[in-house]
Amino acid sequence: MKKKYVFLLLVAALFFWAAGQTRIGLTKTRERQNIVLSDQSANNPPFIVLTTVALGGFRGLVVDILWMRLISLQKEGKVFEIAQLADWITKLEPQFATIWAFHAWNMAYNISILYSNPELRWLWVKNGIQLLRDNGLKYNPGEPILYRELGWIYQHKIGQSWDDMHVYYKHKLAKEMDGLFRGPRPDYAKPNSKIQIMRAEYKLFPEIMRSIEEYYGQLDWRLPETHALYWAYRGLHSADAGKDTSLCDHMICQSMAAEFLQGRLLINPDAGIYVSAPQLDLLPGTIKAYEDAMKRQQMDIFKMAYVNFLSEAVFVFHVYGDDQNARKLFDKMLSEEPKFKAQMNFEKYLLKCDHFNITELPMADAVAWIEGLLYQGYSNPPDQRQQNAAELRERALNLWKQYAANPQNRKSSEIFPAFEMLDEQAKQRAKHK
Amino acid sequence: MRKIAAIAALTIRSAIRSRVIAVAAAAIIAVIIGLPFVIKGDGTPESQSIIFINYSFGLLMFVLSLTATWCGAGAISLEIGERQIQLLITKPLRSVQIWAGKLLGLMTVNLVLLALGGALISAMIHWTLGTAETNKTGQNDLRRKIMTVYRAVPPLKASGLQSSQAAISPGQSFSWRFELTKRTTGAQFALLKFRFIPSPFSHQTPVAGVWRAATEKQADLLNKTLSNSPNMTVYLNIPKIDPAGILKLEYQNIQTNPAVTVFFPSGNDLSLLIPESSFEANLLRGLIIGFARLAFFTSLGMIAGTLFTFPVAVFASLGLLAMAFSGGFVRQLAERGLSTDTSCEQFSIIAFMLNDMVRVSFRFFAFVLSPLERFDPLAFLPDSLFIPWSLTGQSFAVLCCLYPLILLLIGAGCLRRREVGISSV
Repeated sequence: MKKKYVFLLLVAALFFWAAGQTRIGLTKTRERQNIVLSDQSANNPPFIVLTTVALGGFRGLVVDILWMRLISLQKEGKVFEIAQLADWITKLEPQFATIWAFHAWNMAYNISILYSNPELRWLWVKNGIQLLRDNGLKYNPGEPILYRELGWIYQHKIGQSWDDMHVYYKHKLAKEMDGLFRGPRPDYAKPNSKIQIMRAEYKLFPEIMRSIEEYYGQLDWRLPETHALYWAYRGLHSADAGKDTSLCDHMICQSMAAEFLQGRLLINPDAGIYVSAPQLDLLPGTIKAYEDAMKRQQMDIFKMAYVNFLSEAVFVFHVYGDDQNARKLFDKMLSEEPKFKAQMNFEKYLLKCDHFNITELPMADAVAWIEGLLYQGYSNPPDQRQQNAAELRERALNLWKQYAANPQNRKSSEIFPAFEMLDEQAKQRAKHK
Repeated sequence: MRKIAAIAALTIRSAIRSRVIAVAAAAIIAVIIGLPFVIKGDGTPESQSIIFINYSFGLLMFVLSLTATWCGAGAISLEIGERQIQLLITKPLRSVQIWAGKLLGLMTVNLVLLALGGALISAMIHWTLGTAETNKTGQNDLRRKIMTVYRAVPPLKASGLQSSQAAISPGQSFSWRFELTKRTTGAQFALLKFRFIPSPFSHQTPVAGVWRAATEKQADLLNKTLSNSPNMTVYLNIPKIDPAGILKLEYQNIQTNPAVTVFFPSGNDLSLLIPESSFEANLLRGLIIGFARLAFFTSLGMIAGTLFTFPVAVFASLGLLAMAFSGGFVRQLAERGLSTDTSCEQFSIIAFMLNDMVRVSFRFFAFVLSPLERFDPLAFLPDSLFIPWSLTGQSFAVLCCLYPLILLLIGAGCLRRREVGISSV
């Protein structure tokens, strides 16, 4: 009998050792595949520790069941529960950045589009933002992909015009930010009572906002592109060593280019006014963004994007009557891409710009062109003003009519500003010159 | 009958002593009261309430089913294991009476716990609605939405068609007919519930269409142009429907640019919802069905406890419980087996046999568990759908009378034949 027990004990010990050996291999595979819980788990809240540790092997099973329910509910068009299920799934797998990214995207894009009510759509876009901002980044502060995904919702979903309710989102965001700052940006010197809300709810840290503005130039925080820039900037500076940050650099460059083209905002949500026009002061900041990215990432794509931006900037400065700066930018473009030297000179390029078909231009360029002509009229020396202003205004009005009449621009029609508004913007710009 | 009642009283006493009941009651209270604080809907008070109803009732049924199965498994097997059954079998009692008494005792415990859970759900839903962050009108609307229960009236099948499916091309129309019973007379309003699928499937933006409804006496009951997103369940308000008779509903697809064909895949995706009852009355019917389900699980646990020792009985009955809660998994295995592609050449003869064995055994389980799928209150309560009294009665007859009676006869027979006085090592 005693021998039997000794034998069983030995067998048990052997199996115990074998299990330990298997675990070493498994742990290594997990580390290789990046599916191991990181050291941050020590700082995670009790709920996360409970779900990730106490559930043990059953965690995967629970996650599978939740995924299946989520998919079936979404198929049936019953989306009430999706936010809840996404919350649980992500908390059961908190270290998988792609899961956070998927659920945020699913809510902001796939689910929001199901609603025809703009308020409910905005709610789902915000649900996607909140999932990443409030939880995803809390558990994965060193994952640049999550910062990029969050910035993408601002830049693409809210900032661009693919969603037919993008104007509503823009107004909502601007109104929320206006409620915090009472203007385009916070007064960093005199922090008000809203600072706490900025930090706690929106995760907008004034010290980071300030350093962004000091580096890139003054920004309007009511614009979605500014938020995209903020999150990409944070992603770039919070990324764990060895993580690919090129997507954050992409976003910084794209956001700055958008800020340059449409960073000057005239807004009145109650009257439905949302006019964005070029913010020419942001040129140095935008150039810095591209040059930093080219240095950091050593990727050809950044150089191509920079050359494209410079060509667009030449056009913008030209339409605002600043051919001196336009020439400097053109020379910069040629120094970056010398092969253009043989094909084009400055005069030829300006002539080409003057013959662009406005209906084929993106709305930001079209607005820049029209407002630029009006601005020229207001900013010429007083003796020339009367003579030129009428001519330039006539040309601007013709361009405005052409653009507004084109059915291709239907999607942007809600925010393609009235001519009078552009006129007013141009007048203000000339006054502040 | 007095003998059965005496055994039932003893069973209740031992169930209370075992602390399982106290643990279950504490779990129910904690889960139902705590749920509203951890639920995160889509941000609307409506979603918060619907999720609460779904999760609280689901968790209540899960905890009680677990308790019922556990207590059922222990009711006989533990008494045999601890030699207490000898006190009973030496008395002038038939095994049927012992079995029935124990079942009755456990069902009483189930009833008390279920009533506790039901009362808590009802109280918490009122509290959730009362604390919803909305204005007075919004709160009244929300209360009306959540606390009203609707009877779903499916469309009549058109002659020559197998079902109420419809594919409507751009510019075309399709009509359905709904039979309105006398119950609908005087109804304040009705809801049209619909969901469609677009073709091309990639089209995800709203599709424009015109909904028209008329009865024999009300020619222009509804005439509304709407743009609705595909795949989304939509509720459309139809004003007062007065007379009983036939309601004709027409959908005209006006989505021509881009052209989108609209599919209504089944009757489930299009129905008329008539206000029928209050939430509390529906919850009561749901609890009766829940009680019937618990009777089934208790008897199941008891039969396992009669045949096996406590650990084996618990393992076997909880296995069946897990299957019952696994949704369509059992049905899927019964239909397909383990493999979905048996046509493959590499599929060996052993794999074929294994697959067939799995299929046959799961067909048996699917057959045994099929009433549970049919009588599921969660298919009605979260969607505010009316649970008919006929369904409630059927569930009671099948799950609370027929199944337990069959299991009682089998269990009593087994108990009579089982050697309960055998000594252990």
